[in-house]
Amino acid sequence: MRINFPSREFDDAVAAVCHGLPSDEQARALNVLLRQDAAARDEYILRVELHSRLASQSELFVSGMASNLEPVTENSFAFPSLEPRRAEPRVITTQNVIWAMGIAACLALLIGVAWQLQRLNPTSNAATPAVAPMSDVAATDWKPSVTNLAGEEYPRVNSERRAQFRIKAPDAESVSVNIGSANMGSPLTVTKSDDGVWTITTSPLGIGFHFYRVTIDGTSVADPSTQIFRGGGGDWHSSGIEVPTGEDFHERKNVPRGEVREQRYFSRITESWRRAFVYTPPDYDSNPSAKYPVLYLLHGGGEDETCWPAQGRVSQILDNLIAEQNARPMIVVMDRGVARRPGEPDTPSRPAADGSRYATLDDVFMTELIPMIDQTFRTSADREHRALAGLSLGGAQAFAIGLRHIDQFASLGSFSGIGGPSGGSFVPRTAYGGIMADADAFNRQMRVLFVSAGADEPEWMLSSVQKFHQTLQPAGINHVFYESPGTGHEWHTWRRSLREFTPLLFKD
Amino acid sequence: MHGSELSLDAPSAEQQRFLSLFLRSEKEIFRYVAVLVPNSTDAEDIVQQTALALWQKFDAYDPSLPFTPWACRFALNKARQWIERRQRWQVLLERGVAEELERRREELRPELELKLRHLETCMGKLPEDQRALVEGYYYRRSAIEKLASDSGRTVAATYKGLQRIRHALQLCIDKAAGPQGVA
Repeated sequence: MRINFPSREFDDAVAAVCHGLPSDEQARALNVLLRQDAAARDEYILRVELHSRLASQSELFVSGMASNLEPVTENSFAFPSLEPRRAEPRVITTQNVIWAMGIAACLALLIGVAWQLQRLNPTSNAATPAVAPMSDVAATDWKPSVTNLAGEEYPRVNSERRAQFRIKAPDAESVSVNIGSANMGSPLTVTKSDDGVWTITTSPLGIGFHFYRVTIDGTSVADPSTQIFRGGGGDWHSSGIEVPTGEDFHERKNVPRGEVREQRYFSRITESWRRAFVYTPPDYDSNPSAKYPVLYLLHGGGEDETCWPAQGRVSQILDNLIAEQNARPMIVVMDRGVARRPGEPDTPSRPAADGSRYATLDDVFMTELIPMIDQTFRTSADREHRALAGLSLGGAQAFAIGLRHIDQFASLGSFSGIGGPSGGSFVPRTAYGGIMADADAFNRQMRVLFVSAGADEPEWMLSSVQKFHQTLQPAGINHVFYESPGTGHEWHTWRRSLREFTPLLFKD
Repeated sequence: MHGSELSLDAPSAEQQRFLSLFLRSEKEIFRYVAVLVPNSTDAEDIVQQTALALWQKFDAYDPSLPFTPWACRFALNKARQWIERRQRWQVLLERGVAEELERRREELRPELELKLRHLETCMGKLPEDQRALVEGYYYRRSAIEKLASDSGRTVAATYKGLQRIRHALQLCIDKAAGPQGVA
C-alpha cells in the first residue's frame, strides 16, 4: 500500500490514526509518506491538533451550546449536513465543567494507581472497537452469507447486520479479519477456542457486498469458505460477504433471464488476448431480428472484467428492470479497464480529465472492442444507442473516453468516480477539451449525463463528486445526480447506481 | 518520592499544589501526547500515567521553572513506553517520524494557535446533529457503538461522520484564518 498526499487514502489513514484504528498497512504507508513529504507532515499535525483540541477543550462545547442562542454573523461559511438526526439538547454550565474537571483531576491520580496495579497483573486486552462482545449480540437468527461455498455455515450474518466468521487454524498464533473497503479495514482480533477455531462477531456492518481478507500469522489470504472476488484494496482476489439490504432489485427473481457470455478477442494494440463479458437480454435468442442498444461498463481500480457480472449482479439487475419494463432490453459489455501497449507502464490510478492517460484503453475501445461487439452481436450500431459508464476509476475513464468521443456515445455515467482530488480544478468551459463550453450544444447532443456517489463514501470522494455536480449546475449542463443513502465506496452504491442509470437510457 | 504517601483521604497541601499545577497544564500535556498518540482514550491513559509519575517525582520539581515543559518530558517518556508496547504505532512513528512530528509541532505552534482560535466560532456554527455527534464522541466520551446505535448508523459510518465534521471544521477554520495558514 502506498499513500499519496493529498489523497483519499491520506484522509482515511489520518482519521484512522485519530481513532486509534490504523491498519498495519496504513501505519507503514503513512510512515513512509510522513518521512518524505513535509507538506503531508504539516497537514497531519494540523489535523491531529484539531482532533486533540476537540478532545481536550471542554469549553468548546459549553460556548458552542451558548452560541446556539445567537445568530452567527462573522462569515458566511455553511456546513454541509450529515444525514438527518436529532439529539436532545444538553444543558452544560460552567459550574458543571469545573466540577467535572475537579473529578477528572482526582481520577487522574486514582486511575494512575490503578494502572500501576494493572501493569503488575495484566488480565485483559484492550478490545478493538468494532468487535462486539458476545453479550451484546441479541439476534440469534444467523444465516450463512449467500456468497459462501455450498454447505458452508460461516461466515454468517444476522438481522442486526452483524457478521460472524470462523476460521480453523489450530497452529496459528494470530488470526485477524479485515472487512470492507480500505476505509473500513481496521484489523479485528479473533478469539481462539480450545479446538483451534477462531471466531469473531462484528458490530453491525453496512448493507450489501463487502470484500474481506483473513490474515493468519501475518499472511493475508482469502477465506476458504467463500467464493472469491477480484478487488478489495489491491490487485488481488478477496473473499466476499453479503449483508442483507432489505431490497430485492439485485436479487434473482422468477423473471425471464438473460445470459452472460464470455467473449475473447485478440487485441493487436496490446498484442494480447482480451476478454469481455457480454450480457444479452432475455429475448435475445428468441427474437433473432431484433437489434439492441449497448451499454459498456467499466470496473474500478484493482478490479477486472469479472466484477460487474459477479458482485455487481448486472444480469439480476437488468433482468428485473426489463421484466418490470423499467429499462429497455439492452446488451451490456464488461471489458477490462486496463490496456497497455507492450512495454507501456501501468495505467495511472489518478483520473485525468483530458483522457490522455487512458489513451491505450481509448484505442482498444474505439478501434477493437466496439467494432468486435457490433460485428458479433445484433447491435444498433450508432451513438444514440451506445452508452458508457463505470465505477470509481472506471467512472473517470468513462467520462474521459466518452467525452472525447461524443460522436460515438450519447449517454455517459460515472459512479463514485469523477471530480478529481477535492473537486480538482474542473471548469466546465475548458474541461474535456472544451466539449461543454457551449452548454446548449452539449445538452442537445448528450442524452444522459449521470453522476453518483454513496452518502457514506470517504470525504475526499464524496465531496469530489458533489463539487462536480454543483459545478455542472450553474454551468447549465443537464445531468442527473444520485446519492445512494447509507452506502460507502462499495458495490451496493454501484448496484443502485446501475439501477438508477439504466432506466434513463435509450429512450426513443 | 511521593508514591508511597499517596492517600485517598482529603488531599494534603502538597497534593493540592500538585493538582493545581497539573490541572493548569493537563490540556497541553494531553495535546503534546496526542501528537504521537492521537486516540483520545490512549492519550488519556498516558496522561494519567504521567500524572502518577509526576506526583512520584514532585519533590524534584523546581518551582522557579515552568511546570508544563517539565511535565511534558515525563509525558514524552510515558508516550514512548506506550508506543514501544504496540507494534503498529512503532511502525507509524519509526525512523525519525516521532521526533520530526514533535519538532515540527513546536515550530508550528504559533500558527496553530492562530488558526485554531477560530475553532470555537466554527463549532458554534455546526448544525445541531453534527454538534451532537461531536459532543457525544469528544465531550461525553460515549462509546462509538452507542453513538452509532443512537443515530441508526453503522460504526463505520459514525467514524466517517466524525471525519467529515473535522474536515468541515478545518475548512471553516481555514476560511476564518484567511491566507496566513500553516506553512
